[in-house]
Amino acid sequence: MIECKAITKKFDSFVALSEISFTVEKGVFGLLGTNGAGKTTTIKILVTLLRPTSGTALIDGIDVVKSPMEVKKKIGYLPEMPMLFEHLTGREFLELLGTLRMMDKKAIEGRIEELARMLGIVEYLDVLCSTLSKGTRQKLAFAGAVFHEPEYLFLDEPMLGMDPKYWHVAKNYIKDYGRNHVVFMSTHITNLAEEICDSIGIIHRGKLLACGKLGEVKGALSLEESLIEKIDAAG
Amino acid sequence: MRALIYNVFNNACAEGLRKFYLRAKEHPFMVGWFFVLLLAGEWMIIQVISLSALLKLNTIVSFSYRDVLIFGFFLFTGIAYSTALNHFVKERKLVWYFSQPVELWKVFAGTWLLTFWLIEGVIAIGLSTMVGMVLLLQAPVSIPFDFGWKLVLVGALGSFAGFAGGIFVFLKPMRRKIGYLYLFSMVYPGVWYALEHPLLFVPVFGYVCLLLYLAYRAGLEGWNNGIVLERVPKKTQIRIPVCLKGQGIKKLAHAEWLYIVRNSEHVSIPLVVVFAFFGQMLALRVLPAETLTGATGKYTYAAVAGTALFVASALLSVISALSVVGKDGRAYWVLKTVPLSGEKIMLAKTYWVLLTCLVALPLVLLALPLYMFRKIPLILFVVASGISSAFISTAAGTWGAARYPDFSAWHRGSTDIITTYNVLILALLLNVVFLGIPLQIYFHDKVLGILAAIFSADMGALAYLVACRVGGREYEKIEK
Repeated sequence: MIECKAITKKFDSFVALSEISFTVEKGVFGLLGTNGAGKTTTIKILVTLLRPTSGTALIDGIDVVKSPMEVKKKIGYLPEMPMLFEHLTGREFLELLGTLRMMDKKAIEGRIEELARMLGIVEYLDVLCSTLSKGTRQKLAFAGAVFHEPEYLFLDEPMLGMDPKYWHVAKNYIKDYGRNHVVFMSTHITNLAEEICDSIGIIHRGKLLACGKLGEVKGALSLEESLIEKIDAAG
Repeated sequence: MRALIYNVFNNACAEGLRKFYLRAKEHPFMVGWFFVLLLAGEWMIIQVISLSALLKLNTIVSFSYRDVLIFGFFLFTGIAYSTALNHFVKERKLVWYFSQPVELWKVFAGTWLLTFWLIEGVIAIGLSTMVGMVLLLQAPVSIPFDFGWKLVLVGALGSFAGFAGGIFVFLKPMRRKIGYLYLFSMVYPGVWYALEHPLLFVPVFGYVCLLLYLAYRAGLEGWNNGIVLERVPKKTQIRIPVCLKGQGIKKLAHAEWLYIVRNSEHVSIPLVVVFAFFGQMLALRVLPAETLTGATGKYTYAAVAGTALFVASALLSVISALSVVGKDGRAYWVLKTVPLSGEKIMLAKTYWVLLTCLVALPLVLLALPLYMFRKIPLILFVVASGISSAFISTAAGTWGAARYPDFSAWHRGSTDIITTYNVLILALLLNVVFLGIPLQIYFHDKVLGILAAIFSADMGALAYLVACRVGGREYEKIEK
């Protein structure tokens, strides 16, 4: 379970998050909001890349500030616009991640083949990351995030630049993954969220406007209409 | 028309100033300390000149103003070269100018103007503080007017030539690049002779204008090559066993090795060693015999070896170690989200820097014993001192890398000039302490001196481990 209690994050005088609190249980959780609403900041705090100015964030009961190393063992993370190690090939990059996650060599090799086949990047595995296209980099980063099958998967705009075929593949993968794990995803695409998320959070200017099961948040409206209505009401 | 040139110039200035402001805000002590060291450096130069005049040393070792000016010209072309690289050839943002109805020469001239004023600004600040300090201290140092105007002129010529050189380096094919660089290299003898016969400044000025024109003609091509073709890593595979404990740390060290090999960074290691090694031999051949004999003779040898060692350790150890964190750039998230402690990450990242320096720095110091003395105790002493220097210089760089990382894409991890300067001075001080004390003991008793150097190397190793631990904590604190 992910628990955020009154998280505030300030960058100098700018308040990026203002006392947001929510709880996320097993399933796919979608965090929606406008540009600059605080989605990426929230995820960065949960994956230990940023420290909150105040408040507590717990992953599986572990404090992200007090025990970041324990948290890192449980998570997988796909950043927004992921940059890779340009000097490594796709295979070497995934091998590095697997080894840093203490996976054994055989498991690493098997997982590379499995994910590469699933995402259609087999022919790019032995090519340097610096020469890959935007979509292929995104697929490779996606593979890196789910490589060690983490208990908690954090995805920041996971479908960015993916072609329609693998959009479909990745979407189904996330949906299936959420059945046994916690997936925390930020996205602008309301249709995608409506299709795969079990619960939804709407964030605007650093404040959480709504959080709960998909049906509760959107009510009788579509998710897109509900999102616009809530943001307009917040001003 | 003029406004467009100044738009380019103003934007580049504003970006630089804002970046400096942010850096100063982030690390005010570091920036303050930089200016203190800068003033202290000038003060030391004045004191050395005054002292040498007092002791009449200037009659033995004489540096003319011409020597200082040609050294300055090298420095100014270096600054201009680096500005051309960072603000023109590799500046992706220029696409916003090139895709507008703006003529290329205006973008070119605006960026060159930045280089010109940067160099003249450095001269103005350096010269005015120097004059102020001489007046304040009433030191017996004269700064003639002839030197002043030549310095300003040499600065301007440096901005022309260095800027052109920065663009020439990115031209293709190779024979064209070599041809242009040959033309560029002719500036140095030109300026050298012009400093002796000022009338020659007229043709030299014409010549550097021609170079700048050629650079303008090739500017767009250089920019395209700079942002697209340059530094594409090659898929080289050289396997070297890694002697580190732990699967994850080993793999990370291997990835760091691949970074070095695939970006051809390993090529510079033997070059620096050879340069520093033969530089010492050359220095001993050109130094007047009087400086190598008598009571102070042994200190001259030590100064020659020490200078070569510091240049090599600065390039191979301090500057290389300083870039290990920042070079990950926007891929920093990969290592920040894996369960590997900061200390282990720093150990793995600096492993190759340390290993190459443990071999390279003793080799640099072997020049003197092999060239002149051929004594076993001296060989043992310099090897231990080289190892000691490798440890402490890497320690300084390791700490600096984690404490002041620079993730800017075009820096490739290199920290800004202020941080680099401060950490280099820190490394210099540590080298003086860790190597100077054993040297002084060695002058009195050879066996004790060797033992002191070995002890110093041990302490250096400890300093490196402490730097990895402290740096690791700093690494864990990084927020982006």
